[in-house]
Amino acid sequence: MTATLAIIGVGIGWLFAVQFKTTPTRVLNPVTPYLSLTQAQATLTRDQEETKNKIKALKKEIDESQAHIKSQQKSSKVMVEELESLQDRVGLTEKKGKGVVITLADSSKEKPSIDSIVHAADLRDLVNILWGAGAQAISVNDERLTNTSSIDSIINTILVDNTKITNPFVVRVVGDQKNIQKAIDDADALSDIKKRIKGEGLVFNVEKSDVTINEYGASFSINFAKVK
Amino acid sequence: MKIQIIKYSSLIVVAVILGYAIVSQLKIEGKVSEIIDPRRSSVIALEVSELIKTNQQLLAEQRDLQEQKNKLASTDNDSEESIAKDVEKLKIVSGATEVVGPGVQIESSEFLQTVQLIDLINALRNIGADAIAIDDQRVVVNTFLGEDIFPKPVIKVIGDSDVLESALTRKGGIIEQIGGNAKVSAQAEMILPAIK
Repeated sequence: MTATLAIIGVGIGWLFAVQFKTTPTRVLNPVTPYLSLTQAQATLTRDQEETKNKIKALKKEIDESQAHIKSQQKSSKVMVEELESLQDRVGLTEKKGKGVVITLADSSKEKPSIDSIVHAADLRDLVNILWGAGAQAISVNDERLTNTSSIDSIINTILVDNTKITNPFVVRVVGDQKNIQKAIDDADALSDIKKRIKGEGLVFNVEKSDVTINEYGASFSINFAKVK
Repeated sequence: MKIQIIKYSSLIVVAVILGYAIVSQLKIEGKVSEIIDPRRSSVIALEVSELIKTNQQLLAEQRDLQEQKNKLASTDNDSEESIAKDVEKLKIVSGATEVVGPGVQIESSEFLQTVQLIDLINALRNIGADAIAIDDQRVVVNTFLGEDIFPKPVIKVIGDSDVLESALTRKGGIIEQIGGNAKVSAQAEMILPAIK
């Protein structure tokens, strides 16, 4: 009896010792960088939002000045009109028209696998097919795609132009509805996605409708190329 | 009898304390491992570094726009110059004109499949490219990458040649990721055609 008690006593003593010894060394070190990382992440995300809003406001003011100049000076009118037509071509204006809305989403299966969730590569493949079908404008979760846009991932997070987007992924397209449907239905197109729709329950839904696609929120920085 | 009960009750107390200690120990370890999971931390670290990169770009953009706005508000000459500059920039972005500048040339010695090409062009856009051409065909926003592209294309990219070269060829970079055996060479000046 005394021997059992003694063993139990030692056991408790050991547990307490471990508890006190590990708490400061194990918790403090790893947690501090983790916390500062999440704080940095939050601050930077807020900064990004703020800068985007400022850019939006500046762009609006610039548009207004340009419109004003167009009405004031005849010589500038032609140039401003050229600018407006270019802005439309590169995605700096809203686009409305007939098109499709495609929803691509993770499977609702209880145990997600690598094949049951949407990857950046899926969106890249889909977008490529859509341009091939003659799409005039595309946005992914309201991020307008432009000549400088990229769709990337950090582990399981998907980014469009370095802005985080989350499941479900809604791809809006202005373009010929028949051509788009045909391109998607083509047996050779999107074979990997189609396989996972069947096997893993990946969600892929195409809906024909009138579509409004918002303009690109940022501007372009061209530092090395020049018009020849 | 009484002594026996006292003995057992003290054992019960000890057992309860022991149980509590074990559980709390396990709980703490669980929490700690959740926080110090290196995967989670490194994902956030990567996100933070992307955020820093994007925010720098956005701030530069904001400065440019502020400058543009000031010019538009000042004399007629300045405002015309500002509009002309914007026209030139968007001509480059839209692919409306032939462009010239420094950058890199990528020559693949193996066959590139469509998906590899999609990933490579996407990576070039992410690194930062002013203009791209595949086999002297200009790539713009709505360029379809498909079977009609020669399987061993020569890709020309106008941009910061140092940044492009190191980002493309670094360990774990896009060239390695797509499993391609490509030669990347810095170029002082290249001419890329307008879209057809």
